Amino acid sequence: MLKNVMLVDDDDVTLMICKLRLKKSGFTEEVLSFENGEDAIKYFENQMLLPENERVAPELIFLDINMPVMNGWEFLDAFEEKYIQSFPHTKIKILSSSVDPKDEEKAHSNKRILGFVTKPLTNDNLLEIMQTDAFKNHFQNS
Amino acid sequence: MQITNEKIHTKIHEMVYSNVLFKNLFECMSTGIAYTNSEGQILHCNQAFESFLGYRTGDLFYTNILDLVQAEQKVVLHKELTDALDKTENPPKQILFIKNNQEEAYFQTEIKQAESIDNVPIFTILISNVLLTREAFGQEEQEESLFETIIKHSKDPIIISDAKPDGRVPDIIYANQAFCDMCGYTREEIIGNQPSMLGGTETNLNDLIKVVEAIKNEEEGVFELLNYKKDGTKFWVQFSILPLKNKEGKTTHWVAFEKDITKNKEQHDLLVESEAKYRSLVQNSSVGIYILNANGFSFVNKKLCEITGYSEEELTQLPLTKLIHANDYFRVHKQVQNRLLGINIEPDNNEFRIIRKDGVCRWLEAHGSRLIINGTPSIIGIITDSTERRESEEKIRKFSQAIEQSAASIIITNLASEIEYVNPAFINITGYKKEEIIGENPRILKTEFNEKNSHIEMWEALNQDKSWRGVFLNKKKNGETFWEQVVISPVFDSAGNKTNYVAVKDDITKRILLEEEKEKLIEELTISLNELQQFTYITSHNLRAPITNLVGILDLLEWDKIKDQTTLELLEGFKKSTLKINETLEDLIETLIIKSKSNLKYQNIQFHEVLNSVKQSINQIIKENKTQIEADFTEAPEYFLVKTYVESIFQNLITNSIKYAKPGVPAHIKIKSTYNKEGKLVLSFSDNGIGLNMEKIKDRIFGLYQKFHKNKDSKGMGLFLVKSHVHAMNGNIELTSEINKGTTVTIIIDK
Repeated sequence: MLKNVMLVDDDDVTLMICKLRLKKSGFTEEVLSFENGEDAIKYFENQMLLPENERVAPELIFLDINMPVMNGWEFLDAFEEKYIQSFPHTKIKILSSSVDPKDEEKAHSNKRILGFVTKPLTNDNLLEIMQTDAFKNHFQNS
Repeated sequence: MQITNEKIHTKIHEMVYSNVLFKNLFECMSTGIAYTNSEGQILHCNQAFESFLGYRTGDLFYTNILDLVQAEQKVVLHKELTDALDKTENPPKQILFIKNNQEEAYFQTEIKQAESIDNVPIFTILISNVLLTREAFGQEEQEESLFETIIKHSKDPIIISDAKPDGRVPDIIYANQAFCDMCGYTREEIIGNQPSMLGGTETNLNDLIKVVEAIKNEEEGVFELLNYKKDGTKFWVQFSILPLKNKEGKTTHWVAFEKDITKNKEQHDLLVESEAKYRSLVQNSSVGIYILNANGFSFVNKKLCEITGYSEEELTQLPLTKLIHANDYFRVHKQVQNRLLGINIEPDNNEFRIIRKDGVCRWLEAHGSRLIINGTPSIIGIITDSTERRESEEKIRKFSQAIEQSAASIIITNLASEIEYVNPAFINITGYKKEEIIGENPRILKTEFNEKNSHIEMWEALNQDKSWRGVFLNKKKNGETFWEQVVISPVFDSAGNKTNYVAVKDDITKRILLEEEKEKLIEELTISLNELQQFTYITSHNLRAPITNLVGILDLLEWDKIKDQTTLELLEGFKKSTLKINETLEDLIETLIIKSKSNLKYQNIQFHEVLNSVKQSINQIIKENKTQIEADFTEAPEYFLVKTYVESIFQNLITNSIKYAKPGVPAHIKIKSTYNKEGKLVLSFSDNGIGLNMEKIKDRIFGLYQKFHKNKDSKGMGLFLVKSHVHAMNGNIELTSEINKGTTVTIIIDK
């Protein structure tokens, strides 16, 4: 089980459903949810103010693309620019209902992005993630 | 008197004929000789004398010569006789004689007293129609005998030679003045020489041998020989030789009467030569030559035989009706008749058709003029075969008409780029008049808006004898610009020399403007389409987000915790509808993504792998339905295609076949891949299902949301998706079906 998973999505229903799903599937202990990219960036900004050993680094971010204020790509740019050094173990997965094939292509071309999951987030999606090389260690005990 | 005269005549006769030499001379001389008494009565005369005056031999014996002259001349002649009796010498006189036919004629007349017979003086009267000069007479004339005088003064060259035993060539012992004049030697140079002294390098040996033979055989004969004068000039001589024999019959002398026939000979030779020349010219002429009379051809040359295909013999016997084309015969016949009659005919229509011996029709052109040959009116003239000229004229006429009427403007320039010709289309397009533009350089149409290199490239091509094709923006006379598509080519003559340039130009201004407009339109459309697509993506996204939430909620619902039965039923309905909306939306989105074609990744597709993977994913339904799939990919096991599309095609078509299987009958699906004649891939899917009524639905079969069955699972998406995939891969799809028999879908994909 992961410790912290971050959810960034402007749809509060989606946030609620995903949170329940993550809990129900036993995927993570804590869920950090934000309604847009800017809020998520602020979280990292605040973490930077804390001493290094008190910082909470999410192991995985589920990032939506179409969001007001700061969309998924803008968040990604900002994160890579400022915080990637401090949070080297944070992986990102796109969780979107976008149908634009360009979004999926873009997701695949970015090294930090683990993949592109189409909503809704299902138990099968989570099981698949658990089996990937990046995370299987976290779930070996359970 | 009468008796005396007869006596004297006999004596003269004896005297003349006793000596063979004199006899021959007397009879052969061309000078008229008569012997008279002092009164002028003719006692004897030679043939020449009588024939001069138009009498026959013997007619004039005993006639008085005074009766033969014109009345007033009698006195003159009488005086001459009297003078002769007195032995007074008078020069020859012109005396007017009256001939037997009463015509008057002057003869050179000379009277001499010869000798006396029985004391009767005898006179010699010589007449000739040639003027004799006094100088021709030698000094010893008086002492010469009568015959010597005759020979000496004869205009015919005469030589006398001795005769050698054994037929050896004799020596000349006498030559008269005429002979000396003929050969240019003096008498002294001649006497003692052999007659062969006149021979030379070109004298024919055979002719000489003939003469020698005659001498050997002591026979008379007539010969022609080429001789040389003293100064080397060649001349032809005709001579008769005569052996003179004594009483014992032995040849003592030879006499030769000669005649210079050089002129005759030359003329004859010239005639023969020119005849041969003209015959050869006519026969070898490159035009047909004919002589025609009312009966047909009387002469044709080789070329005319060649033109007509007939031999000379056939052609001279061929009636013109058989030779000349029926449509032209009447006209030609009339022209021939008129020309033979000497009537002028219009010279402009002298062409007509003939049918050659081999049946081929040719055009001929004839010219001729009238000529009387052996009393027959004839036409002599020439004939040429004008078929090719007519054909090329016809071709030129067609071509020039095509050029004149062409909608493309055409310019012909010389090698100095000066315009020699423009067609009416050029004048229409540019507004220049013909007389303004001829002689100008086409660059007066040029503008500064052309691509820099186009003129350089053009000249490079033309200098390499190649055509050049390109587009110019040119200007009209009024300054208006227009676009031209131009092809410029060099023109060569038959010897391969470049003579001209020809430019064919299409005004493409309209086309260019249309193209510009089209491009603008396409650009606008592309923008709109992209905007529309973005709009669709956003709409779909906005629609999808809440639906996925609904699906997520349904997934999270713990159904066993819901105790109220009604709520449970309502939620079941809610779940079904939600899943259905979700499915429809997914299909729509998939279609949308195909349309955008943004991620077509072609790769080598193994058909059996695709089938296995599809079978796996729809394993459940295949099992439930007990579906049988019979696949044959041996002919075309693989092809370069888009994997996701091929999978979708297989899945949709197989699912369709299962969905629309006959109730209670498991679906039997045959799949085959192969290549057609053009090397295109052919994929076919056949089933034994319920089939479709093609009559009713053929236009809608591949349409979106078209449902042809009341099957509850049907959404009307399957065939539409398949068609979209096939089209995306540049393919075509066809469907044939029969109710209760089954359906076959055939997909053909280009290489």
